[in-house]
Parts: sequence; structure tokens; C-alpha cells
Amino acid sequence: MTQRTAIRLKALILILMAIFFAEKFASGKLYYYIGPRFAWLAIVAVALLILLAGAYNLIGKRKEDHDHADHDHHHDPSGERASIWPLVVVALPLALGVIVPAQPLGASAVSTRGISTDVAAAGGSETRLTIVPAERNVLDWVRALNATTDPAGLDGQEADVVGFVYRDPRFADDQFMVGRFTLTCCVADALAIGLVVKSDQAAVLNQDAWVRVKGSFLAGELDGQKMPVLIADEITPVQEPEQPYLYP
Amino acid sequence: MVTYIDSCLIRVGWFIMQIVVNQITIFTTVFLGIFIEAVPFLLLGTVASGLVEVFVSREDLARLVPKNPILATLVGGVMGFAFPVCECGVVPLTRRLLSKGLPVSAGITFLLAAPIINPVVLASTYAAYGWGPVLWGRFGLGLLVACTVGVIFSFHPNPMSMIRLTALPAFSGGSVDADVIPLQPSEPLNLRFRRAFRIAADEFFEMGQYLILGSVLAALLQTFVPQSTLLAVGSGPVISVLVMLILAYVLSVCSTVDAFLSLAFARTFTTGSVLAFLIFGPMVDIKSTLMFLGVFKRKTVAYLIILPFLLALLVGVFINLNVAW
Repeated sequence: MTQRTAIRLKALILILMAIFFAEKFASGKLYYYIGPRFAWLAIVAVALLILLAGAYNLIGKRKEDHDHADHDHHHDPSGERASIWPLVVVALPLALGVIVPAQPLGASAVSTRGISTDVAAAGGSETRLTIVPAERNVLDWVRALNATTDPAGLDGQEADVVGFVYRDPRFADDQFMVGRFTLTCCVADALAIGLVVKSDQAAVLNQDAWVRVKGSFLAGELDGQKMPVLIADEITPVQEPEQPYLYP
Repeated sequence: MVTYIDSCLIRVGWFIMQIVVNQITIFTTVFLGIFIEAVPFLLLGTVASGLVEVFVSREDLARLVPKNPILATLVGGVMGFAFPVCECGVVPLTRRLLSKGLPVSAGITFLLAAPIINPVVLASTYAAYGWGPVLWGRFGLGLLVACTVGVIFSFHPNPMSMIRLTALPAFSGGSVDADVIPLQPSEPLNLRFRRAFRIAADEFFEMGQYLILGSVLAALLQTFVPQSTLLAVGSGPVISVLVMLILAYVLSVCSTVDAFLSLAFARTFTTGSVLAFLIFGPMVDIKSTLMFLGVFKRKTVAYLIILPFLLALLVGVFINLNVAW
């Protein structure tokens, strides 16, 4: 590959990458990958990528003139032939982003990451316990669960939460977990948390389907371990939320 | 009968394919997550490097950095305040500063310290932990570890030999092909900026390939190795530190945000292990290892990993055994 081709390809890849970041930001799919508090980084990236691509475009022309003028003394071989590998590797995320449909982490990612009813895994502070029960999400409830050591500590409290369905062999036939991934920076640090739900419908719910569960807590157990269990009154299928993760 | 077996095979095949597709999707999400978070910082680092190349001369740098190797190391340690970069941006910038005549000991210290000792990381660590032992422990002990490694490297008889031969063209003033536009002292400002961005763009590809390969490795490990096994063994004053060090290396999260992440472990893990995580993670992780390999020889990279690892281990275990917070 000649330097001229390399420069053109590099400028093209930079522009495509700027489009990639802009599209992720505009479509909201950026939140599949990083937390909203770092979304501004994508804007910085778009600006800098366009700036760098521009630098190629303007100086690239000069380079061509230079090539013609100095045709008979190729003293620097690295200046004449460019390796294609850096370009292929840098284009790899773009290719993957186009070929593989964007999807947030869900129940199928739990197998290697594990799912926890333990708030320590999710981090954050107890101050969130001041949120009124009706407004609490899965993370807030997991926090509340951990604030008490008594399996009956939440008895009678009513919950209304949204999450994905997760089941594994530990669960009884009428049990499943309503789960969410929590994120601090990006999906690299995602941790799954969930609440154990008891319902007759448990067996017919599809793994990874998004549901809204209304019900109240009662002391119960999962796989022999005593803990508060959400007794479902109503389970409705819902669309995946715009921000699929929760942020401690 | 044959059709029955066939349909079974098709079902098994379908099932396996679904698992494979699932794993590929998870891998892609994690990989793109690391990539999307790291790229803006790599871009900032390469732009800083381009600006240094164009606006800072060897003489400027020689005036600013003391001749004494120990003092130079200290200057390298606090230089992060002048160049606020994280571990993705610091590699191209360090290479540029070395090519401008920065002593290798100061360069190594800068490479390890800048991702911790800089205003952005200071702010995020303060936001996560407030004013307390974790904050000043991270900065004080992080600086200590970085300077110690820098001083050790300063004893190398021929420091330039640690740098990879293929990385050397960059030392003749600019990236591989940026030398086509000769340096002119009277160059107008807009052309100088343009040249700086051109150098930054070349460097983005040169360093970006290592960043991306590193992100691929980190995402593969995260997709196929269960994290819970690592966390399950996470107690005890020594084991907990080892676990957090390995986790810091594998997760490869940017140093500007890793303080928030470590909060998740702050309750279950010992203070020493969290501090070791906050000191070691910014210095070395999978993606920065790959980027180091683009600049330094393999043996040097090995020392760049092992020395901070051992020192962070020492710090973490010492705190767990001797300090009660």
C-alpha cells in the first residue's frame, strides 16, 4: 500500500469513526456501552476525529506534490510503503459495530458474570434508602434488602419494578429473578443484581424478556438461603427501557 | 429414523449456534464499551503529543528538567499536572517526550504516575471517596511507586536500548511520514497546528491498534472467564490484594473513572486491596501493556508490569497488616 492510499484510508476511517460515535450518541445506543455521566466523551471524540481527519485532507495534497518532485531519491523506505495492519485493526470496532447488532447486556451475560442479591456488589450509599418504596427500582430494593439482616424485614412492603427475567437451576419452578445490570463506568464493570420473585407464571416467562413486576415482599428462600422474596400480584411484559442499566 | 436423527442434529446445531451468537454479542458489547470509553482519551493524548512535538523544543525541555536523575524522576512524577492524561493518552505522549530528550527515568515515572497524579483523577477520586486515606493514599503511594520504578530504571546503562527499533523512526522528529513537511521556525501558527494534528492522527493509528488489541483481549477474558470465581476468593490480607491487582489488570478501565468502579468493591474488600487496585490499575492493564509493547522492548515491558505489581502488592499488604482504618 502506498502512502497516498494509506492517508486516504486513514482519513476515511477517522470520518467513519466520527459517524459511528455520533450515531451511537444520537440513537441513545451509547447507553448500551457507557454510563450517561460519560456521554459527553462521545462528543469530544467526534470533534477530535473530525479535526484529525481534516489535518490529513489538507496536508495530504502537499504530500502528493512532494512525491512527484522527489521521485528519484527514495531514501526512506518506511516513508514510501505503509503497513495495512494498523488500519485493519483500527477499523475492527467499526466493522463489529456494523455486523453485530447492538444489544445491551442481559440474562445471557449473567452466566459468566453472576447475579447477586448482595448490594456490596453494586456499591453506592444507603442514602438512597430515603426513596419512597413506590419509586424504588431493583437497585434501591437490593440496597433495602441488604440494610436488614432479617429475611422478614421487608414483609408487606409493596414494590413495582422493571427488569429482565433470569432463571437458572437454583430456582424453584415458581421462582425467577427480576434482574438489572448496574454500571459505574462502562460495560466492562457491569454487575448483575436481582430480586427473587415468586409467581405461578414463572415457568412460562422467557429468559431475558423484560417485565414489570408488581407485588409485595414476604420472607422466603432461594436454594435453601432465607431472604425476602417478592410475591408477584401482576407481571406485565414491557419494552426494554431506554437506559437498560442502573447506575449506583 | 434418518430424518429423526437429522432433526435432532439440526436442533443441537441451532442450540449451539444460539449460544455462540449470544457470546459474540456479549463480547461485542463489552469490547465496544471499553473502546468507546478509551478512544476519547487516546485522542486527547495523541493531540497533546502532536502539540508537544510542534510547540516544545528540546531546549525548552532540557531547561525544565533537572540533570540529577533522582530530581528528574520527581519532576516526571508530578508532570501529570501539566499534561492531564490517562493511561491511553500517556503512552504516545511519553514516547514524544523521550524523543525530545526527556531522561528515561523521568519518562518511565511520568508514564506510570501521570494516569494517577493529574487533576482529573484527583477530582474523580475525591468525588468517590471524599477527603480521606484512600485519596491521599492513592496519590502519595502512587507517586512513591512510580518514582521507585523510575529510579530503578535510571540505573540502566544504556536507556535508549529499551526502546523498540521500529518505534525509533518517530524519534527523528515526528511520526513515520510526518517528516515530509520540514520544521520551520517561522512557520505560521495555523500550519503549525495543522502539522500537530497530522502527527496526532498518525499516532492515533499507531497507538490505536494496540489499544484495540488490548480491548479485544480484555473483552474476551470478561466474556469467557467468570468474574465470580475471582471475587469469591477475595478475603484475607494477602489474597485480597492479589485478587484486586489481577482484577485491575483484567478490567482495563480508564484511570479517570476507576475510582467510581472501585467503590463497588470497597465494602467487601480490604482497604489495602482497594488502594492497590487504585495504584496499580492506572499504571498497567491489558490495553496499556499492548501499547507499551509498541514502544518498548519486551523485556522492558515485563519489568514495567512486574515492578509496579510487586510494589503495589507490598503497599496493599503492608496497609492491611499494619494500618487500621
